[in-house]
Amino acid sequence: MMLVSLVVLSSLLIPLTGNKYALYLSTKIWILVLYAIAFNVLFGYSGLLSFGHALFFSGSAYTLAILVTRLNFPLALGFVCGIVISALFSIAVGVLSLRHREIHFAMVTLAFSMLFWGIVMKWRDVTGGEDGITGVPRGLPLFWFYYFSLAVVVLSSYFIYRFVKSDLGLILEGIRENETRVQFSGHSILKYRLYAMLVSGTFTGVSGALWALLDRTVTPTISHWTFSAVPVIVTLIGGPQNFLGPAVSTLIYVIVQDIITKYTLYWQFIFGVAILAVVLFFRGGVMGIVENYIDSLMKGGR
Amino acid sequence: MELQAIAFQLIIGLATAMLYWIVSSGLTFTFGVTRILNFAHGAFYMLGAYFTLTFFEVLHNYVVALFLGALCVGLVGALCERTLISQIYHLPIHFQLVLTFGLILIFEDLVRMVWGSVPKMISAQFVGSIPLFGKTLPMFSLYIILAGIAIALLMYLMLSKTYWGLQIRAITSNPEMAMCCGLNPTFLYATAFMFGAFLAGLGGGLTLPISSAAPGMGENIIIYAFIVTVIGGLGSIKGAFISALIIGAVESLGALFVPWLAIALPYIALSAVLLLKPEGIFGEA
Amino acid sequence: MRIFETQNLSRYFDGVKAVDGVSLSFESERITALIGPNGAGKTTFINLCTGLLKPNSGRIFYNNNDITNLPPHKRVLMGISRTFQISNIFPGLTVSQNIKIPLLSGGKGALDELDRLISMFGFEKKADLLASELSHGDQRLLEIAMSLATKPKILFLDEPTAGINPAEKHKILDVIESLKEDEKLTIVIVEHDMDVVFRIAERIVVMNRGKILADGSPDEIRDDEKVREVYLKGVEI
Repeated sequence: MMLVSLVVLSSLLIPLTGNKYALYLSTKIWILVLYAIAFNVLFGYSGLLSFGHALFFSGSAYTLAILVTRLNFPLALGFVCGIVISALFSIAVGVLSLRHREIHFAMVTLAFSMLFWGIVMKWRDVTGGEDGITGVPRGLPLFWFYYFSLAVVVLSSYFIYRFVKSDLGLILEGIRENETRVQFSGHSILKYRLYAMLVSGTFTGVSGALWALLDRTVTPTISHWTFSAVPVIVTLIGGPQNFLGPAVSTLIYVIVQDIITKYTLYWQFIFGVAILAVVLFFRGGVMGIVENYIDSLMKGGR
Repeated sequence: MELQAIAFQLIIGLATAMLYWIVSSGLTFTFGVTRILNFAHGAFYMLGAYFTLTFFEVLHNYVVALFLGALCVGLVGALCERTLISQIYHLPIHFQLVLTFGLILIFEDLVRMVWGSVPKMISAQFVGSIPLFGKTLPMFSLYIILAGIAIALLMYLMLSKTYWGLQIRAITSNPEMAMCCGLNPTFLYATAFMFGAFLAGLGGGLTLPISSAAPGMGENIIIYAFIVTVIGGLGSIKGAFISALIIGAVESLGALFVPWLAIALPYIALSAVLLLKPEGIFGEA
Repeated sequence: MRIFETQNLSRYFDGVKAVDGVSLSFESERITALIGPNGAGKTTFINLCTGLLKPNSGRIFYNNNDITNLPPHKRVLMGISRTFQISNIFPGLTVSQNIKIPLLSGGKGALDELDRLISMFGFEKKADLLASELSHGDQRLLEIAMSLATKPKILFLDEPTAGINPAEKHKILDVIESLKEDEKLTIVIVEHDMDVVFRIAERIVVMNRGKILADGSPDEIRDDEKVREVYLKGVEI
């Protein structure tokens, strides 16, 4: 807890440096942190690997952008509507994938997110096709938008934390551990999986709406399945069983990506090799190292 | 007239179906044998297109280039299996997905390094068209239908008429028993992966006459392969073939009757199957 | 009073009749042992009763309600609980979390039971251990505690003492006997160990090849020629 407050407090100072790029990058990190934490409600706590979270992310980003730029909705209303759409998407996908787990669940979520991608690419009049939608207003100068994003991300993360540590979260962990036993404990698997899906999808939507405001542009990249892979990889590197694992590795991911792309065009290649290394050699390692490190820091801080 | 239009559209649908079948055959075959869902199947598909392209530039013979290209992809696949995939058979599926995703990133950048980022084409093949039902059917559609049937035959012969196929079927249905009978799983998994990669490469090379080779070309087609394999039942080759036919028919008829819905139709078919028979048409429960 | 009843229950696997037209009823607050050679259909029968499997034909009644098509969790909420042949717990969660999950199905106030169940099974010192760290016998006890946490009226136990050392076995048997007395439970137990069966059962049902071979008091079963022939042959009673 100490560590978290320390990080949050020190990040309050970033805008005061006056460096626009640093400000943009750190806002982006906060948004992706929420994306990863929301994703991990399904993966780490419920044992469901979604490969389609780009659907919830881009679903809210596109809704916001379309409502605000095409239909002149007020920004705040567009923001809320975007999140609501993500919530609805998550229920729909939840119902369709309810009987699936493991590889099937991953593929079903992947397929539905790609349906949305297909629609985005084809329905040019509304979504702008490949070019996306530009000119989304941010409503706030970047300086204040940073604080707004920070507040939203911290509050959302706190809510998610309370959720996974609640009785409901315990039942979700039970589902991850042993689905049959949860059924024979008198709980409807479907109901709890839908709750997890809803929380995960909705807060992914929150991060997507923030993203649209930060970039002021929405492009199909964020609805493509490769964008769904981001939280999967980040979570796996950071450690899915630790609430903050995904957050820490998101930080590393964005910063390392930013540094590497300065030197080479082939960021993907280096990242791919890093993934292979993690899976082959540091499976327990990177997760273990990060988790132990956080644990010892948290214990030391208490 | 109306009936002829439907018949024509079904032929077009058959061509689409065969394209989906070609892409998903290797994916579902590899999964059936090794239980690895190879995300990098799309990357192998892309490599197939590039290898074929290069062999064609040298040899000026499309069919020979196609086979050499696919063979090279098969070798790349075998190499990946031996060095990487074989290390993760016992791990939970998310490690498999992430590792093969890493392969995609690596292969895409390698392609950019070797061939550049600009899409590349070969000189036109199978141009022209033939009259059918009062319309003209592109030669390419005919060729892809024949190629799809040829691949189905090839798989059938490989699996049911060769000793290798017998061993593959044995290790698929009961790995423990197969190993007790003295089958060599290392060899079989490696060759199964190689065969799957070969099919992916063949798919990439086959589409070269109408579409250009580009980095990332496999990323989208792989989604159709996933839809086809999930509908057919993961690991079922027969299921993949039949579900490819279903999707091809649904798509082509949809384009005729409900064009505005066409893009969503494969997904609607997928939803329907998931709700009615979650394990797929030929899947194990 | 008749609490649970099956009528003509059948379930086939690839044409093999695992359970073949079984009609049985269970009186409340009695312990019935279900015995029979391997493959007799005992576990399949329990799986049908608790909803893990759907029957091909036949009906299941609980307190005169037809529950044939209810999913497992609804049956649990009605008061039908079970344990499994192979320990079926949450290995990565603590002992008290394991018991908490089934308690949560009981609505508000159900958690008050947590301490009582923990002390009833002697888990006070082990409450914060991971379930996977428990001994095999303790895992079986934990599973019984979990199935009790849903406040069942009828409890199906599938080989609760399989693969357990004698000392722990007695502990489990003591618990099962106390359940009938203290919790007014109806118990159906599948068991291979004849010592256990004849110690605790008030009624014994013998199954063979999916059918009921004999049904009666322990004494009747002991003297039944048919049962001796297929099952008890060579086993000392």
